[in-house]
Amino acid sequence: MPKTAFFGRPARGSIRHLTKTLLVMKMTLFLLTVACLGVSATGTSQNISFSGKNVALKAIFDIVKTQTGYSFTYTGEVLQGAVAVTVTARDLPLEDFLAVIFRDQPIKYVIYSKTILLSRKAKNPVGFSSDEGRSDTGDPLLSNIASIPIRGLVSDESGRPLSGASVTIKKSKRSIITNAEGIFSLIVSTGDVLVFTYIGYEPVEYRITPDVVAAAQRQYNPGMNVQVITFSIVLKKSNSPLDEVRVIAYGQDTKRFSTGSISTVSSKEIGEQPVTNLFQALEGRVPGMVVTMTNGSPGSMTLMQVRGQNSLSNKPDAYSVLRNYDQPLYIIDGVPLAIQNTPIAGGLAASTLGVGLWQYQNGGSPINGINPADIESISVLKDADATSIYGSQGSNGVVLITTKRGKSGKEKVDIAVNSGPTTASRTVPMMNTQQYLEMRKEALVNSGVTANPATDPDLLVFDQQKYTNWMDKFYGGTGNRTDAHVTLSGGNESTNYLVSGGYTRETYNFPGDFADNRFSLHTSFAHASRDKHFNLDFGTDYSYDQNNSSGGGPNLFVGFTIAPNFPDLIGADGKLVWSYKGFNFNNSQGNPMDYLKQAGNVGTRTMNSHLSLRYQLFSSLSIGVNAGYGRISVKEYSSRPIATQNPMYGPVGGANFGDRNNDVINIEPQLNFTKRIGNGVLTALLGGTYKKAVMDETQISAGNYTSDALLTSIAGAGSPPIVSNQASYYKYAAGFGRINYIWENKYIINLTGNRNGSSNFGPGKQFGNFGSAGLGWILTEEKGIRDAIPFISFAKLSANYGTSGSDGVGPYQYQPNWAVGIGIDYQGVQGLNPSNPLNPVYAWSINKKINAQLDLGFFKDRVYLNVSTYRNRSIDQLVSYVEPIQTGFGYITTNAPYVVENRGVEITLSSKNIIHKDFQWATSFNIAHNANRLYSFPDIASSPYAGIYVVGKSVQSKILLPYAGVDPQTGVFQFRAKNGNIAPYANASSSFNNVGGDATEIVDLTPKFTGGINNSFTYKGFSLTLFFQFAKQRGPNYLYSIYSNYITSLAGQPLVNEPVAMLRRWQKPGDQAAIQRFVAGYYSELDFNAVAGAHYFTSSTGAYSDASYIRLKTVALSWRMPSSLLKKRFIEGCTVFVNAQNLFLITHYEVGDPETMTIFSIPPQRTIAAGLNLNF
Amino acid sequence: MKKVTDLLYITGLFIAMLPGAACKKMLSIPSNVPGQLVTGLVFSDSSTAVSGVVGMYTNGFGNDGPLSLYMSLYPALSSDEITSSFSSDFLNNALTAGSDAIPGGSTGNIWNSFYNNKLIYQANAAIEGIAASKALTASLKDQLTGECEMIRALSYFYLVNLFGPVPVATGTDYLVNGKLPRAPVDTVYAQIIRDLINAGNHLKETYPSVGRARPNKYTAMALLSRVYLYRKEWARAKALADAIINSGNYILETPDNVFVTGNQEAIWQAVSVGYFRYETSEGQTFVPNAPDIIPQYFLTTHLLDAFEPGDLRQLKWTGVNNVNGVDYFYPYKYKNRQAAQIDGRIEGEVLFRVAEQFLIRAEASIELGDLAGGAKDIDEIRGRAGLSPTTATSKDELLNAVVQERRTEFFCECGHRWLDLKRSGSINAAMSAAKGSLWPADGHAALYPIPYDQLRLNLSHGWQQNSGY
Repeated sequence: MPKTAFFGRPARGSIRHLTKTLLVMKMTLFLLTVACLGVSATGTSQNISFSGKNVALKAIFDIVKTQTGYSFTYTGEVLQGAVAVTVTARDLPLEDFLAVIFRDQPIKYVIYSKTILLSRKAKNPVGFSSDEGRSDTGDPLLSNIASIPIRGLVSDESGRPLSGASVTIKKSKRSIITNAEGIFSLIVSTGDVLVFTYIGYEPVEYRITPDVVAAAQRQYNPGMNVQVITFSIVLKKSNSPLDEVRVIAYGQDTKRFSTGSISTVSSKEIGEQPVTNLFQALEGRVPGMVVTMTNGSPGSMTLMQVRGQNSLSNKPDAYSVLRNYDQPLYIIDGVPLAIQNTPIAGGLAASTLGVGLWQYQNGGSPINGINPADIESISVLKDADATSIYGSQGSNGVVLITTKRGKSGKEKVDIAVNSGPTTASRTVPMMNTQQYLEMRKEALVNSGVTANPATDPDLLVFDQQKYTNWMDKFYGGTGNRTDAHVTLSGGNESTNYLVSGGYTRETYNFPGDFADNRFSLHTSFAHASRDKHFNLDFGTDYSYDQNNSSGGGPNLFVGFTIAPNFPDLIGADGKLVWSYKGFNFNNSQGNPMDYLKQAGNVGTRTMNSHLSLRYQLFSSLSIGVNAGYGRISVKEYSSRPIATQNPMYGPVGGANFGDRNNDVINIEPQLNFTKRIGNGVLTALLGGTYKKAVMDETQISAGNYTSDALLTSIAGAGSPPIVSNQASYYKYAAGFGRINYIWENKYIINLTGNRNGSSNFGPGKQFGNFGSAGLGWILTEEKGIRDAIPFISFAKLSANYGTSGSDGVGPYQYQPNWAVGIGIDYQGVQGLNPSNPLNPVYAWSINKKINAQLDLGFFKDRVYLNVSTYRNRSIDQLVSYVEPIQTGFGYITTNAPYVVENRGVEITLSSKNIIHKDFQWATSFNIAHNANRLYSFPDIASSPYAGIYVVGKSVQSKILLPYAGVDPQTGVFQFRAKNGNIAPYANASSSFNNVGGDATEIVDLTPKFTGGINNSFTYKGFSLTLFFQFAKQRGPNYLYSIYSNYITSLAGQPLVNEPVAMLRRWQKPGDQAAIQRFVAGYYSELDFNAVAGAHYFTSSTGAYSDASYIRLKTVALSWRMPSSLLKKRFIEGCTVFVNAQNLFLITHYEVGDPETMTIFSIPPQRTIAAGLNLNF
Repeated sequence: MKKVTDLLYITGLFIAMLPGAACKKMLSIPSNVPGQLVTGLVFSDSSTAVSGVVGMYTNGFGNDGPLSLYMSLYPALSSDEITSSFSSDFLNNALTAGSDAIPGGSTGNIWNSFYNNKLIYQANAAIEGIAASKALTASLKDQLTGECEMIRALSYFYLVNLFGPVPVATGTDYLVNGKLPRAPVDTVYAQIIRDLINAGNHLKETYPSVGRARPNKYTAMALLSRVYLYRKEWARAKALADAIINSGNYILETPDNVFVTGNQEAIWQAVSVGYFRYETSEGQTFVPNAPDIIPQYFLTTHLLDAFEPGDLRQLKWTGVNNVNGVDYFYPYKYKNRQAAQIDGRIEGEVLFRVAEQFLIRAEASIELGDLAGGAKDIDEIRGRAGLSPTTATSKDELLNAVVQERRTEFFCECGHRWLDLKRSGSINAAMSAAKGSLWPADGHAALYPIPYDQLRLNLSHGWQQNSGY
């Protein structure tokens, strides 16, 4: 065994060794910092200038080190007998310089990597030419001790060199890392076993045979040429799920060595789903992340939440829902999404009239500008270990989206086309004419009044036989979704590229053109210099999305509730009808068809551009910068033509024009350090972020148009248009670092830190510090454990703790601002109004996160199980805190005094059930449970939230009146009062104004668990994927939708239809009914009780029910044609496929969709797309 | 290699710099966004300072602003003046604190629009900003401060009359305002009187802008005389009304002219605000859009019966639609549903007019024993309406005559009827007669309920709902 340790330090006892290692780590960090600061003046040129007389050899070594960075390695006795040197050199190449100084020494030398190894010359050279450097027979001295420096190359199967691969001599544990060209140099002896490992590849062991040593000796060339590579090693991609490379914050890792909680979704999983919105493809795929479609209309918002809600509602009443829905940070190729996941526009997509936690979050989705086909992977970072490095932005998790890159190899063209119908998946059956008239007549009887032509035209004026299924008219249409995508890619080992263009069109069930059209272009270009020291990665995504469904806030809800015998809405001339036999439609709900004719569109241009430059300074140190620019430009137009308004009122036209730009610039310089230190690999990252986000918006509201033809012209308005503009600025600067050390592939430590500042805060409050520490232990690396449980191929325990924060408030909230009153003047003077009070005190919120997890691989990792458990506590939350209005404002931005806790368990299981040459079956399953509670809230009783939230209970709870059924005598809803009495609430109203009052039952709306199960089968060229998504939860039911809406809440009133389910009503004394009596209006005390009952019902337990479901989310069937069928030279591959989304649903949720949880919105679309994928 | 060293140096420096002092600069953003100013800046310049006060008018008189339609509509619905073709909580006297699907219930909008950032808060903020300003002249400071005090007093006057005890916020610190109790009615009035006396001192006799669109000294006196009347301080009420009437600035116009812009009766007449296609919210709301439809709101028979035959006010200030043979009368003081619709007539919301001062002086005089003086003032109003002098002679008869004239003079105007019924203590009897069983026997409907959500936010410091709700 060679005495010379790699760093010239002999190996010692393990404890001392560890101390040493830590010392080295510290030193390295110190050096890294010093190096960064430029204090080091180390030259790295390969030439030496030095003159001196009789200089000791050791002193010369120092000079060489200083001037070239090459160091000398030797044992003490080597220098015995060395003589002083006299030399004059000016810009002499190192090799020549060394030849000079060693000419008269009893010492041989060999250069490898940046080290010059010294050994003594043989005293009696036998059969050895005195011309040392030119011997073909090798060095007998080295051969005697059987140690020889060798050089090797490590590459992957395609021949690409692997930089940073670890090479370890098994016995001595000595190891190094390959350089940028994949080359390593090491002194080995015969019989040594080298272990090659690299992230994502299967480890390879290689035994040094005498032949290898002999070969090395033959090539061995001590003074000069050490470029010869003795042998090369090819590493194969690992099949183990543990070794799949995934994107993390500022880098990559594998599950094997991770201490954090990260889930990924691959392009394959995304590609199998015929969805336009990328986020919809994530539903049920990521344990711990709830994905919610707000609406089924094209282009509408999809929300995501990681590990639960962290903040309370800023609306202080039990009826309302969370307005501030905590979402993660979204980053595409290192560039933060310019507007994050906030709505870009209103329109159809915002026409939800129901409830759900996301009621205030709907609108047009900004992610719609990203073509899912251009996405390579999505990583969801969940715990502190993974997110602390994002400091104040990572509190609610981070979603990293990575686009596709080119691959080296032959040029390829991929063409994928698919198309198919879309239909509303679950519409609400409404009453037909017969049922409707029955309801109306019964209501009149119940209210004790007779029909009157002025108020009851449905009974006295309209055709009693006519029946139109309005639901069908509005929602029953079939849309189409068509998607085409062409990709061109190719490259060689130093440069590759990818260009892809996509077109997606999704039409909609409504009559009229409400299509969403998207054109996208994705490019990627990567280049590495010949020596691989310099790397460049550049890519741009650009898209244009035109969505025609943005009319000015249409209230299509009317389409649900219009009476089934209502006269035709469109006349024979194609114009809207506004009256029928003297009945003016505006006396009821107007003509809902007008909304469908009020043109509106949103044009969204999305651009994301990233540039990454990296330079390998030393084998261990690289320097780089990531820079990115993102922009979302939204052009919005909506109109209200005269033709869509009732001519009786002398209407004029109106139009709104909006223009908004969101820009973000992100620059992140970085230093990366990777080095084998001791028996482990140390990687360190030091970086900084500068981010600037700017929004500017102009809105023009033009009115009084006298001609519909002019509606697209601002100048055509009949009165001066009202123009307003807004802007917002945000800057963020951070320094961050990460140190990761993996010792003997067994113990892992991962530390991250971030200090950052945000312009959202007032002076003195701008900066905050965040950090995390993670530890991991791979049990199966312990021999005892591995031998004891042989079927467990991998076991790892890891845990971490850390903090992240949130600066999620608007800018300038800390100063007392006044804003210009828009479009309004008083005697020519523009008014100013205060927009917020002086409020300089708020600062960061902190989320303290603990995560622990167990990773297990069974049967050579064919079965992989991950169990993660976590506890997050969100402290000093930065919220709009509710204040009474006598403060001037309903909300004040402040750090709330409460703590919200989310804790939960996430389980992921994947298994390759059958692996056969022709048939494979794989299953993956995930399930997550999150329990949310208000952990503490000092003095909640005297806070605005008294009676709304309860300490110890979920923040998504409602405190409700216990519903006590329909009174069999009166037919009115009843509730159980606090004192146990059962009464219609009208009688109990005196206690209603006291906190809580009779509302005593707490219902938690947090899903109990959510998850998904994916089964994929392949048989020869056939492949079938079935993906089920499920959730166990409670939510507002259809009765909530009905009774919370003032139009439908009075079932039985004129001209308002109701769902068929409402027929289960009370009719006569003694009835045990689910629904209270029909009433025609406010005519009697019982009517009032029914009105009040309807109102209180919405805050009772009756309005909430089980909303659990299992949905067959995705079915993907494909057949890859055998190559024998294809003309080989031309088409390389051809796949035919059928993909279906939202095929069926199993649920007890009675009416409507359990995902959107309202009946008055657009349910998720069922899409079936067939297509073809061609590769050339 | 030198270049690499430099690159390394620069990067290192950059990273080292980020969290450091230089970073502050990296976080600097423009001092504000377009169209926004901080308080100090608003009041550092006379033009923006005026904007900072005028903002209250653009809001208060804007689309359904609290100083316009709210006060003409809701109290009129609650009282016996108008009814509607559809039921409403105001009409049915069935207000509940959270009776609508809207949290806060039906009275939430009224409460919030007075207390929000654009009325009382703005007055408070402007008063503080003006006081702190070193750039404004003393006379401008006085004038603007006076206007703010006027607005604040008027807001609290309505609040205390509609809701009873209310919180009195006079500063801008949300930590203080958020914990205010409901101040007793006397305390609220004390604040109103204090503001009005100060406003009277701060404001000049001339109007600060064209016309009578912004308050002057007499405006403050006009509200103060009303307040003294409500507080039964007859001598003070009379003295103020006297001073206003005798100022020579104000005369009783013909009924046609009372609501037209530029009339000489108005003490404070707002101008049309901004881009709306109508001039006053009343015109837009009360005047039906077609002659053959049932108006949204129409006058009750109680009110119609109150008019004496030949009353010009009924002739000029009410309109009628005949639908299916039934006459529906509607308030027609403001005639323009849309701007300048009729004969180029331009109207503006009248908040105070001298007719009220005649009736205040009449009532105060009668209470003070000057029955003849009272009758004379009553006859001024009757005469303008084309009616013969009053036949009342005794004190009680004369007081009833004042009530009668106030009813027919100020119907559907600034809540006068509702407030008069309340202050006279006759509300229970009058409303039981008018509304029958809809009017609660305990009369609790005379006060509106505190909006549910606001009550809830203030429970921690002892707020209680008005009784009966």
